[in-house]
Amino acid sequence: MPLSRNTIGTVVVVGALGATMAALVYPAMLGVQNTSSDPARIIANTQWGPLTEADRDFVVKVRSAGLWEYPLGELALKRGSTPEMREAGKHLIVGHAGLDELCRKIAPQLNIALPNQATPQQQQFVATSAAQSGRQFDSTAANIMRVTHGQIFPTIAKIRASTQNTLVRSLADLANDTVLDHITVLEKTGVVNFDQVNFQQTTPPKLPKEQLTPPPPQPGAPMVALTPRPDLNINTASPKPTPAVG
Amino acid sequence: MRFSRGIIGTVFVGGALSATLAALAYPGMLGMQYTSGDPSRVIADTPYGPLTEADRDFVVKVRSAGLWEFPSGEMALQKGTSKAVHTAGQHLVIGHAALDATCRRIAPQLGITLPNQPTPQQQGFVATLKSDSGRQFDSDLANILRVTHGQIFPAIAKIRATTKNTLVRQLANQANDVVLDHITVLENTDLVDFDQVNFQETTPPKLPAAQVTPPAPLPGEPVVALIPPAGVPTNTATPAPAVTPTAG
Repeated sequence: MPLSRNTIGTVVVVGALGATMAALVYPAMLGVQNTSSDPARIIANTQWGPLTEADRDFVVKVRSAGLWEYPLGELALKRGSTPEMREAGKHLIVGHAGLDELCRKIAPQLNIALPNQATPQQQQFVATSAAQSGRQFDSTAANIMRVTHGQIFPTIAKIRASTQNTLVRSLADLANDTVLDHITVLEKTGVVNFDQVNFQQTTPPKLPKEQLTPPPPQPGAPMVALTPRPDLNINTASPKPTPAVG
Repeated sequence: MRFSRGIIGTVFVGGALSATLAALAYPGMLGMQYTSGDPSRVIADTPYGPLTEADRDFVVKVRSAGLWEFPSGEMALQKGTSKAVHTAGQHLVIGHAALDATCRRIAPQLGITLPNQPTPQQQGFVATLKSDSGRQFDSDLANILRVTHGQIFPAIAKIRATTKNTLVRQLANQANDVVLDHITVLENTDLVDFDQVNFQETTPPKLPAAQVTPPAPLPGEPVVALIPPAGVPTNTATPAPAVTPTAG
């Protein structure tokens, strides 16, 4: 034999030891984050409290959501084939205009750069829905938005429970009420497929980071602002008070 | 040598192979849940939609929270030393009475058994607050309750985003509103130590299951109902929005 039994035995034992070490280390390495990516890292000390990477990411996410859900709401208002769908469109427009106003107010105070476009994935959501019409449009738009709102809702709660920045708190309060309102009106359309929605909420596709990150704004480009629509006469910020006890 | 080199070598290789297998199996076993414990398992089909184990657990958690946070609120009304703590007490009493009314209404419709006592851990919180007085009471009330409300808030959101049961949705809507209101009034006491709170929210102590489960009610025991004391202003469920959007 070209290799002696001794050599083969040594290779097997060393290989087995190497595999054991790797397997032991693997679970511990799963959660390792470099300092630069840790969401709890404080990136600025502002007069409204410390700002963490998670806080900054949250403000950008709220901005990015408005940049695609507002136009999709306008489409729903124009093309929705049922009154419930058009009502959902109104709530989306008014709610996201309100959130965007607050984002644009607090971002300069916290020194956060807001994008002027939604993420490539989100832009694709709008394009997919816009290509359809009638009941198909209703179903596609309502289901996509029910998934995205359902995904962000626990995140908002987590930010609100843990942030120490008072401006981020006020954005989280408004986002909590607005997103819950949107979840409610989308469910009222009657076209949401909950099995599919739960599946997509819990197992989102693993897209590359560029697809999930809004493109940075061009230097000197004017800040996009979502047009408020007072003519629609809807208040989405406060939930209806629950009946008082006694 | 007592053992031949051959035997030592065999024991060594056998041991190394077993260690490799155990280490490879460990991450796979970490997430394993028995069928009976899986939170997304449907345990009942009701006229209001399917009821999962997570839904049932949520209703019981809301009930259990009320059973200790309502008396804590009453204590705040009696022995709180600042106006902000008194206000927090009012909100706690009213909010948890309202949530409890909803729990007691929907539990029979969903076939859920509600406890009449909070968990042993929660009873411990009440005992701590009972023995406190003055500024120490204020601080313990604000911090303990801010931690527990902060822990349940994302869980409520997750239930609301995933449940298919319309009664559980109603409870989750109301709980979302009430818990956010309580978080706000507790923060307004200016006594909350956020570093400590965040630490306890993210790394809660691993207590045995008996400590964090409400004791089962005795058969035939009347259902405890939370009734707010007379004279407490009643509309506390909706927090005032921080900013009114101009579009509204």
